Amino acid sequence: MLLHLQNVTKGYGQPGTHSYRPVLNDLNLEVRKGEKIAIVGPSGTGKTTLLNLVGTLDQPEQGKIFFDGKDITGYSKTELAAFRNQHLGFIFQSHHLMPQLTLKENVLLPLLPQGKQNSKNETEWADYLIQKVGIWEQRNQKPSQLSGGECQRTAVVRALINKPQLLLADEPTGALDEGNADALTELLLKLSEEEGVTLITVTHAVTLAGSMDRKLTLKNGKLV
Amino acid sequence: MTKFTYILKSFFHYLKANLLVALGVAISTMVLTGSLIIGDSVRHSLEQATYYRLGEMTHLVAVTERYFRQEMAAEMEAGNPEIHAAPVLLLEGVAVADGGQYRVNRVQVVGVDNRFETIAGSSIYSELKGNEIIISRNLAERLNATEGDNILVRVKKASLIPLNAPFVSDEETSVSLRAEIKKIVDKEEMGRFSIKTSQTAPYNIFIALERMNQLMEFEGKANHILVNSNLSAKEVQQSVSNSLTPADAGLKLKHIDASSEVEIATERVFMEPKVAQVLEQMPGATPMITYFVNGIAVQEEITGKANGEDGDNGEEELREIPYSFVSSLSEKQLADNEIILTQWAASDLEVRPGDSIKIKYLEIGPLRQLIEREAVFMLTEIVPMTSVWVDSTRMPWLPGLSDAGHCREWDAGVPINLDAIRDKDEAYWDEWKGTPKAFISLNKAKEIWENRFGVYTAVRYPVEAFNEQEYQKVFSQNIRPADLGMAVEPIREQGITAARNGTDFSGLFIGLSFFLLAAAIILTALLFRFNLETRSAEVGILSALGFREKQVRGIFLWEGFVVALVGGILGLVLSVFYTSAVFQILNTLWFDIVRTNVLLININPATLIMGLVISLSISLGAIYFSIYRYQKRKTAELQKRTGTELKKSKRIALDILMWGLLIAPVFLLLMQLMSASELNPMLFFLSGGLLLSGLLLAIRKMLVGMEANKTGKVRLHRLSQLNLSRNLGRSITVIVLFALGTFLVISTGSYKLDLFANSENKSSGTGGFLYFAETTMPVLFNINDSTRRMDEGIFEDFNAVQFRQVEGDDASCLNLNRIEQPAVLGVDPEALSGRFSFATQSKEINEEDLWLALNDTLNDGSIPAIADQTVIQWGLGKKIGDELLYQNEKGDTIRLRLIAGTTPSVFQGYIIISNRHFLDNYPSSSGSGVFLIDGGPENSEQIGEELNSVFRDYGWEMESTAKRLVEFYSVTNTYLSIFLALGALGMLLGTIGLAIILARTILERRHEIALMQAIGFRNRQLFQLLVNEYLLLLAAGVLTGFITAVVATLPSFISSNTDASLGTVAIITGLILINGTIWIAGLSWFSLRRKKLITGLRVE
Repeated sequence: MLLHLQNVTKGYGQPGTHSYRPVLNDLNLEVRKGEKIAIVGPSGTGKTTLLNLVGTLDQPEQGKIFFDGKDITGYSKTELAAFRNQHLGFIFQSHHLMPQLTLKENVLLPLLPQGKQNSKNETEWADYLIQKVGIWEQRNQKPSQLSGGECQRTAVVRALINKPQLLLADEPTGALDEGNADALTELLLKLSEEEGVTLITVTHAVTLAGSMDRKLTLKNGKLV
Repeated sequence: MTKFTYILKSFFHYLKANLLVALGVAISTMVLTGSLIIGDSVRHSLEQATYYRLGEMTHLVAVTERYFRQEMAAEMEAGNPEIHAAPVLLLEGVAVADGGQYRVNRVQVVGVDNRFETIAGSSIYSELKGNEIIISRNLAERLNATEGDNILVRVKKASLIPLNAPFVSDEETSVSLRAEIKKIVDKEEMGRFSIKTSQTAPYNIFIALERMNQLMEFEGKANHILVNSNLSAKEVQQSVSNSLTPADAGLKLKHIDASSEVEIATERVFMEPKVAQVLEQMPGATPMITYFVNGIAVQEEITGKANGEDGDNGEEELREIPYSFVSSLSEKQLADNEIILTQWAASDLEVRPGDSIKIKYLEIGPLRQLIEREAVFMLTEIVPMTSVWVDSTRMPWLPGLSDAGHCREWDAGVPINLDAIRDKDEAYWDEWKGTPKAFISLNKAKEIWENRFGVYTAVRYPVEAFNEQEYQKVFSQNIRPADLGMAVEPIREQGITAARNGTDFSGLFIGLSFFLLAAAIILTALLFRFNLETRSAEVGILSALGFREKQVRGIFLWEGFVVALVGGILGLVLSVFYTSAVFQILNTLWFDIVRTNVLLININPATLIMGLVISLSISLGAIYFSIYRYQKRKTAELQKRTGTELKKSKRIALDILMWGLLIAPVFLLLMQLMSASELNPMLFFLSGGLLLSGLLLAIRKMLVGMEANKTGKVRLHRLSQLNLSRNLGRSITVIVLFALGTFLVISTGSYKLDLFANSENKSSGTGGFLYFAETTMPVLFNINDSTRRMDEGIFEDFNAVQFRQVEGDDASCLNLNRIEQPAVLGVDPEALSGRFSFATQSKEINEEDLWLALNDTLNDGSIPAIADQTVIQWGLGKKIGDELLYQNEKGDTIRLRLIAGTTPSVFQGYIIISNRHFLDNYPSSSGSGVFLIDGGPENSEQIGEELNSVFRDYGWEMESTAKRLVEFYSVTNTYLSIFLALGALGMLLGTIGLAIILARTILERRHEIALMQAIGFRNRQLFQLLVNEYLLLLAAGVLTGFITAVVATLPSFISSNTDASLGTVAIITGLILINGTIWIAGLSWFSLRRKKLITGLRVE
C-alpha cells in the first residue's frame, strides 16, 4: 500500500462557528503502488482539497495520512518539504511554470532543494524526458514563448524529474483544448506506466477519468 | 542552473518592478547615508575649525585677571626643548571705523611677538611695529576696512591690581589707540585664532606685544602662553611650575634701609591668603597691613569707655585728621584695642595717651559698594617723627594715590571730600607722602581690613634673617601655578573632543528626516509586497516542488538583496547630491544653526559603507517581514491567491489593544487637564501617539467590518467599501502613510515657538526684563546707585540686575561643540526672585523660590547652580543633580551642582550661581559684564538709547530680551523648518505610494472595470467608484493624523507662547488633502481613459 488516508476530516472557516464549512468528512482512501486513480465530482465538493491534503500542501483537521506505511501527518514543515521533493510530483491545471526560466531550467528546478542540479544523471534524465515528450527543440525557450500544450508537457516533465512515487494532477487538461488534452492524457498514462508511478488525478475530463484504473466520486465529503 | 542563476534571472525578469523597489531603497539610503555624511562633515568641519583657531597650539597656559612675566615662556622652552611657547596678552576690545559709523564690540585684541610664529606658522606677526595691527577678514568686512586704513581700537584696560580692589581708580577701564591695518588675515594665517571652543569665528586684532604692554602701562607681561608640544598636560604643567617665580605672583622685593629690613610687597595691593601664609612662615616675618582710612578722630567720652569696639552714641568727636594711612604693628607691640599715633597726628588731634581715638574707614563691598565703618582705640603711645616711625614705604603702591603730587590730585577709587583736606594735610603729603600716622595691632587690622582680595599689604624681614635664594626656594616649593589661578589646558585635545562630541548632526538629521525615511521604508516594503503578490503562485509552486520554507525565503531574500544593493548603490550616489543640497541650505538659509562658513562636505568611505549596510539591513528587514508574512499563508492558498481570516484569539487581542490605545490617551488627557498644575507637553505627545495607533486599529476593524456587513444590496459606494476591505493591507498602508505624515507635519508646525508672545511677563523666558546687555569692558560700579547715576548722566527710570562673569565657552545652542565649562554668571538671587519659570528642579531643594536656593551651600559642599534646561540637556549633555567642575581662582576644584533648569530663557549659554559663592571663589573678578534691564515698557526706547549712549565706551551691546530669545530659538525653529521640509518630502513620497497603490489596484482590477464597462457602467460612474474608494482612505488617514496631532500639541494651542492656531493647522491639512485628491482623481481618470474595454475583457 502506497497511500492510506484514514478518517480524514477537513473544512474551511473557524470550526465551531457558523462560518465553518465542512468539505471532507471522515474520508478513507487506500491506493496501491502503480495504481491510477481519477477523482471526480461536481465543483466545490473538495476534490482539490483532497489532493492538497495528499500532497501535504494542507493539513487535515482530523485523521491520518500514511505514505508507504509511514504517518506523514506528524511531519515537520522541513520534513514535509523534503517528502514532497523526493516522493511527489505535482501537475496543476495552470502549468505554473516560472516565467523567468527557460523550459529546461523549469524542469531542473526541483533538483535545487537537494543540490542535485549539476548531477550528470539528473541532467541526462531531464534531457531524456524532454525529448520523450517532444519539446526538445523548445528547451531554451521561456514559457511566454511556448504554447499551452508545451507548457503543460513541461510541467509533466518537471513533476517527474525527481522520479516520484506518486504523481498528483489537479485538472491537468483543464486549460487545454481537446487535442492537447488528449495528447497530455496519453502522455501521462504512458509515462506513469513506464516509470511505475502511482497517479491520482482530479478531473472533470471524461476521457482522462475513463483511462484510469479506478474512478472515485467525491460526494458529501466521502469517496464513493 | 544554480540558485544564483535563478535569483539573477528573476531579478532581470521582474526588472521594472524591482527597480521600483530599488528606488524606495535608494531614497532611504540617500536619506540615511546623507544624514551620516552630514554628521561626519559637521564633525570634520568643527575639527577643521579647531585647527584653524588653534594653529599649532597644543596646550594653553591661562590665567584669569592677572598677568605674569613674558620670560616665563622662554624659561619653559629653556627648561624643556620639547616645548615651544609663545606669550600673548589677550584682552577684549572694541573696534571703530569711519568715525563711529562701523563699530564692532567684543573684539579679541591679541598682543603677540615673533614667538607667535611658532603657533601661527606665519612670519607676518613678527613684523608688527608701533600702532600697526593685523586684523581678521571678518572684522575687516564688518568695519568695511582695507589694508592701510586707520581704525580706532579701544582695549579693556588691564590692571595688575584687581579692578574692584579697595582704593583703585575705576576711571580708566579702557585705553584707546588709532591703529593702522597692516594686513588682513584669513583663517589659514590664524585669522580665526581663538582659545574658546566654538565654531563661530571671533573678530581678531593682532598688535605687537610690546605695544600692548605700553598701552596697559606694563612691562614684559602676558596673560596666556600658547604652547606647542607633544608632552602631556601634566608635563607642561610641571614646566610652568618650574618657571614660576615670585614675580609671576606679583611679588616685589624691596630693601628698607631705614629699618634694615627686606620687604615683600604685592602689585595686587593685598596678598592672596595662600601667598601670605607662605611668606609669614618664613623666619623673621613681620606681616603688615597698611590701609587708607577716611579719618582719625579724637573722641571725648561722655558715658562710655573706649574698648576697641565701634563707637557709642554717647561720645562726641572733637577733632579729626582726614584721609590718612594707618598701618599695623605686631601683637607684641600693641594690644587689639590700642593705637599709637605719630607726633604729628597727636599734635594735630591734641591728644594724650589714654585718650580715645576713632578710626573711620571704608569697607568696599561688591561693585564698589561703600560701607563706612568705625573702630575706637585707646591711645597708648605717641611716637616721634623719626625714621623708625615715619616710614613712607609702608604705604602700598596705589595708582592714583601713590603717584599724586597733591592731595587734591588723589584718585583713590572712593569719594574724597576735598573740602576736608586742610593746608597742613597738603604739607604733610608734600613732606611725608602716605606715611602712616597711626599704628594698630596686626590682629585688629586683619579683623577690620581683611577683604576678598587678600590680607597683608607687605611682609617684612630683618635683613640678617632674609635669604633671597631661600625665599625663591620656599616660594617654588609652596606655591603651585594653580594657587595663582594659572591652569594648563590640553586645548587641542579638548577642542577635538568637543568637536567630535558636538551636536550629533547624523542623529539629528536622521531624526529630522524620520518621516521621509519611514515613508521610504514603507514604500519599499509595499512595493516588494506587490511583487510578492504578483509572484505568490511562484512561492506556492516552489513549496509544492519541495523547496523548504527557508529555501524559498532565502531565494526571495537574496533577490531582495540584489534589488536593495542596486537601490543602495544608487542611494549612495544620490546621498552625495542630497548632502550637497543640505549643506548649500545650511550654509545659507539655515545659517542660524551652523553659524560658520567653513562647513565642508567630508565623505568617509566607512560612512558610506555604514550607510549602505544600515539601509540594506532595514530594507532587507522590511523585505523579510513581507516574505515572512506571506509564507505564513498556506502553500495551497498562495497557489490559488486566496487569503485567510485572522484567528479569533488574534482578533480579540487586537480589539483589546485597540481599546487600550484609545482609552489610555483620553485618561491621560483628562488627568492633565483636570489635575496637573502645569501641562506636560511630553504626555500630550504620548497621548497623541497612542491615539494615533488606536485609531489606526479602529479603522482596520471598521474596514474588516465593512466586508462582514452583508446587506444584500448592491450600491456604488458599497462596491467601494468592499474593495477597501478586500485589499486590507494596502488600505491600511495608505492610511498609515497619510496619518503619520499629517501627524508629524501638523505637530511640528504647532511647536514653532513665538517667543515675542508674553515677553513682558515675569514668568516668561525674558523674566519680564526689557533688555539683555553685555559689555566688553567690565562696569565696576552699581548702576542702580543713584549718586553714580547722577555722575554718569543716567536719568531714565530703570533697574539693572548686574552679573559677574567667569569667562567660559558658549554653551548655547549656537555652539555646535560639546562644552565642558560654560561661562559662569554670579548674581544676587533676590534680584531674580519671582522671575522666569523652571522646567526641572532637584527634589532636594525645598525653597519655594528656586533662585533663593542659589545662596545655599549643599551638604556635600557643592555650589548650587541654575541653567537653561536646553543648555543642561543639549549643550552640556547633563541632567539635574549633575555637577560641573571648575578651577577657582585659588586653584581649588569647585563643583557646581545643577539644581534647576529654566524654561527657554535669555540665560542660554550660561551657568548661574549666587554672588556669594561667586566672590568666594573668584574674588578678583572685576565688575559686571552682563546686565538685565528692567523698566516700564513705555520708556523702553528712551532707556535703551540712554544706556547705549552712556556705556558706549564699555562696548555696551544691548538687545531686547525678546529678540535675544528669538535668536536662540531661531535655531529650534530652524530645526523644525528642516523637519517640516523633510516631512513635506516624506508626504510627497507618501503620495507617490498612494499613486502606486492606486495604479496597481487599477491594473489588477482591469478585468473588473472592463466587465463593469461591458455591462453598461459609464466611465463617470467608475471614476466616482475609484475616487470615492481612495478619497475615503485619504480622508481617514488625514483625519486620524489631524485629530491626533491636535491632541499631541494641545499645550501649544492652549499656550500663548506659540503661534499654533487651528487656522494654520487647517491650512496644512487642506493642502495635504488637496494634494492627495489631485493624485487620486488624476490617476483614476487617466487609467479609465487609457483602458479599452476589449483589452480588459480579452485578458479575462
